[in-house]
Amino acid sequence: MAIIQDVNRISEHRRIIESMAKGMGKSFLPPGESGIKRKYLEHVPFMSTDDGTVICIPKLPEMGGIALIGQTGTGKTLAAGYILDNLYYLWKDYIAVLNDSQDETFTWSEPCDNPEFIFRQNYFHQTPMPLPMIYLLPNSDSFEINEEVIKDKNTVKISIPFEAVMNNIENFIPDLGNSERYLLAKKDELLNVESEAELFQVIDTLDSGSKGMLEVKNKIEKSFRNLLNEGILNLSNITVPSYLKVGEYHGNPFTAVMKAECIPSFITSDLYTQKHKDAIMSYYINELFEESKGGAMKGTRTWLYFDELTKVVHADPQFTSPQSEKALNNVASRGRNNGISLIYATQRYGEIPKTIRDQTKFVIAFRHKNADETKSIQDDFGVEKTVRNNILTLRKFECVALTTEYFICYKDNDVWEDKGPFIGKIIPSLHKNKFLSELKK
Amino acid sequence: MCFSFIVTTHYEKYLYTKFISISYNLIPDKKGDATRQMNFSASFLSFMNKKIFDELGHPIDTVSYETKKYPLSYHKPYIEFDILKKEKILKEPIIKNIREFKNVEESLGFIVISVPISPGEKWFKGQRVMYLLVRKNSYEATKYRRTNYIEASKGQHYCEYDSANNRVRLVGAKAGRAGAGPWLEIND
Repeated sequence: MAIIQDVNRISEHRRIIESMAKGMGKSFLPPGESGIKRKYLEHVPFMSTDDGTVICIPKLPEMGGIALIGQTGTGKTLAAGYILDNLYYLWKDYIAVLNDSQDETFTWSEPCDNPEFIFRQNYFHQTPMPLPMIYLLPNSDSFEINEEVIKDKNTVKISIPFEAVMNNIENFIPDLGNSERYLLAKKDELLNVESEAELFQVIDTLDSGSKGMLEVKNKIEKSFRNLLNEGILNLSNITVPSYLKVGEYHGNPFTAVMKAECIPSFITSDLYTQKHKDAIMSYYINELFEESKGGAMKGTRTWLYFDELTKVVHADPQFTSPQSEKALNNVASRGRNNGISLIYATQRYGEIPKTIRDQTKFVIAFRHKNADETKSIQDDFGVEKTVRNNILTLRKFECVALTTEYFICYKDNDVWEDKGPFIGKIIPSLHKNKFLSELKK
Repeated sequence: MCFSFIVTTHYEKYLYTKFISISYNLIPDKKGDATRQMNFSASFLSFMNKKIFDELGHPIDTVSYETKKYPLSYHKPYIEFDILKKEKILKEPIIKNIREFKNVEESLGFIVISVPISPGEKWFKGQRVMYLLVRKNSYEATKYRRTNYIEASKGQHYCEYDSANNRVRLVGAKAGRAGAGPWLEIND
């Protein structure tokens, strides 16, 4: 009780001194007191404007997608890195990197070492900090990776579960045609096999001796041999798990790594040359969506990060991966309510399918090459012509922030919600960036 | 190489030099290479008391679960503010557009000035000046030429008055790179 009275007396004393000081227009405070106090940001800051306004992405109950768009080398990955750092550490959200096609996340588990970036991070009084990355490598016979790079990294080679292959047989073996129904008739038996030899024994039973069944059997056998040879399917190698276990959870490797409070990064540099890329990618996206929907994440939001999203999906049907596009459209349209959102970087926003663009609520646009590329930004976010033209003249690490919702802005002692647009400089990632490290050497 | 991109003004360059000289040990490489020798993910998993197992229940090979604490930690982002001014959460803006600059001067006490800008500062082709909204008795108001009707008559520039928060800003192509100038508090 005495303590409370003391505190009240001090607060009253302080209030009087402060009001006297304010009345005199002075910054007078009792000795030993500082007039400068800290305001911790609850929202994710990502840029500051020329007049010192801090722009943040607000924490909404239903987050839409975040897009970082612009020419290569303008700061997209650095800005995405900083946002991901804070989504992970500040909001404590789950993050899964689903297409690291350029092996750039290998440096994310090291702290930023660029003095100029560290200086810029100090704008919000932050210091370099790595991310706890676990690298998931697809099981493939053609997979080649620099052993020197991964020697001190935490990598796990993963394979697709046989059950998933059987449930999506049309994606993994698309040219089966009518033979598919004969194969599916043996599905239950096939799901019980434990080795490659047992698998082919079951396939042999397809040849009932009737007309044409030998060809069907041979076709199915050949397709499965291809899957095994390419390393997509794994029945006997226990060092290449399809599932991982963390605590009570036993399932999808991405979810397991996230449940261990780490960030899974799927190294897809080899996957793009494979014909099964679409089937593998769509399987993991669908699994993550279903698990999030089913409550496996226990209320924690999951962010799926895609660098160069146009390598996975494309507005032009000629270049897209249909199954992955279907899976991503599902995440984009239904993910908001189910605690799963997209964050992606791309050079050409106009080439992203419309369903995904429609669910993108925040865009951070860097310099673009020509006006045509900014047209879709203007259409989606209704920006003025001046702003659209300014996107073409932005300097390196400068960006335009656009939204269909609102940003939280801080300046001096004011806090407000604003739709923008804003032009300013990004804050670089707290973790190390691969390409800039290479430049330094 | 990147120096000129992030650190643009002389003041920022001064701050940067000062920052480097006083906090050299913030650069992880200079901290005795401790961060390089340790595996962050392994240390983090150990700290969080989490283990990842394969299907047979064996801890996955490549994670060694280091017990040594990693020498860096995450700092929450914060900004600093003056407690004498108090934090102010702005209300939902109620915007009224004022197209005649004369009305802005009479009712709010602000005028629009035209400030010449260098080729390096311009943000669109052929631009020579930028427009700024300033208090009519300020130093800038006496130094630069005032603009009353030039652009306003074409409807390209106008003022937005936010009556809910009692602030005003200039909107238009030459008002700022994002198509608008900063908000100015009328009471200041």
